[in-house]
Amino acid sequence: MKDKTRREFIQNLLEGAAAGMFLVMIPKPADAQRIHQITKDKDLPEWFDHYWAYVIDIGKCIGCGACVRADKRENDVPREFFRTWVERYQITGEDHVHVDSPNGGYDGFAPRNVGGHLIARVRGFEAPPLEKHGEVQADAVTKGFFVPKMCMHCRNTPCVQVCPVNASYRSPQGVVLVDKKRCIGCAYCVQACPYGSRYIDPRTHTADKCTWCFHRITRGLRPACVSVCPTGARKFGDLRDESSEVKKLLATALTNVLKPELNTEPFCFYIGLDRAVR
Amino acid sequence: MPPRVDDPYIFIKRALLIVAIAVVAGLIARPLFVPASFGKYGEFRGDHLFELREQIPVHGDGAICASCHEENAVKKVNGRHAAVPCETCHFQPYSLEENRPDRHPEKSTPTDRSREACAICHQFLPSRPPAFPQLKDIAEHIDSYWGMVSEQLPKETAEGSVCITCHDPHSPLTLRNT
Repeated sequence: MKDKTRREFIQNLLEGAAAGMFLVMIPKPADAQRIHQITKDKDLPEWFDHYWAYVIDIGKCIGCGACVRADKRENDVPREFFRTWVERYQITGEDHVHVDSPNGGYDGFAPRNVGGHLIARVRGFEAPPLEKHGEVQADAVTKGFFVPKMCMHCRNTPCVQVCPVNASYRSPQGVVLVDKKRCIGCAYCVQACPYGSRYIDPRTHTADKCTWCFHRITRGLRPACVSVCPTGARKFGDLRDESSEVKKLLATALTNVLKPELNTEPFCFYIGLDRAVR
Repeated sequence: MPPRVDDPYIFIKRALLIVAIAVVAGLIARPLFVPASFGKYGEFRGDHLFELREQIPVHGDGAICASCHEENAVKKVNGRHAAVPCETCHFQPYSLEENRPDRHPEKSTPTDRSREACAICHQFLPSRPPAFPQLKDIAEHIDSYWGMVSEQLPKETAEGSVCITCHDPHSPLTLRNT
């Protein structure tokens, strides 16, 4: 038997390693296809066979905060955290953007300084001092709108990718969820989410977030925030249902997502999103 | 000089044995660390989906109200608040969806009837869609319309009045006392 030289040995080693890499890189079936196969399984309950999406119409949002209050009540969200919140944008001139979200919009939005006589202070909410947030005169606002925010339930999910224990995952129905029994509370996902939609629950010390009210949508109810929205600004529906309003809107309306440059592929879409929104 | 060995493959055999032991040990240890339902539907603990579903909803979802409150439902459908769900103003518990009217919270659901409750949507804010009905100045509004609906009431009561003194919240353009 011929002894190998060190050069040959290293050469063989590298070739083997390269071959091994190709084994690992055998392409998996496309994600959506695989998920669809799973959910087409006959043994699974009906609520498995959906693929959810969410549409927010900015032109309809009046900033009443009903969604924030409903969400807090439905999911017992700790006082200082929000699964959904509403941001107020007030733009004066070309690029002077004033954004605020006092208490996440829970108490509605009291006008900071609109001049004239207010109807009333809204639910005891104190307007923030003008010197602290800068003065926005109602007359000077050239463009204003509200942006409800929440978990975007991304397909290319940054928070799931960093989870070291597979506690965060995207369900076959397209809902990004946290398994509290597996979560170790390392908070990598809280940092990884570019939309700021996760928090660590101070009671359980685990990550928590919007679940699209998983317990409701699997019972045939709409998420709490959708069911209370007075203007229909929030819409939720099944992309596998040809007649769903969300599917029609995505086909016909001018939609966009938040931070498209990050390639997170959100499944929460916005109609009428302004370039000022980050 | 390395020690002389009879079997030239002894080192490879030993290595393979170690690998085999590691694989067997790994297979035995895996179920101890990985939950049973892990990987059933994807890279997560499959049972978690079913656990999440056990959470009992707090809010109902609308359709049930009309079955008892027919008068208000009809009024609402024909008015400007037709698209506003009942639970925006009235907290409607999920127990009603389960056909448990005995769990209706009170005779009337806890409802905020104050001016602030209306203001939360109808106070003028520059960020609201311009077409949405908003009120900038309540004093001016009362001056313009008070006589129209409540001639018999003195003007002084106007200041302390709430919106629903004149407006029916289920159909706000239907005025009371006219």
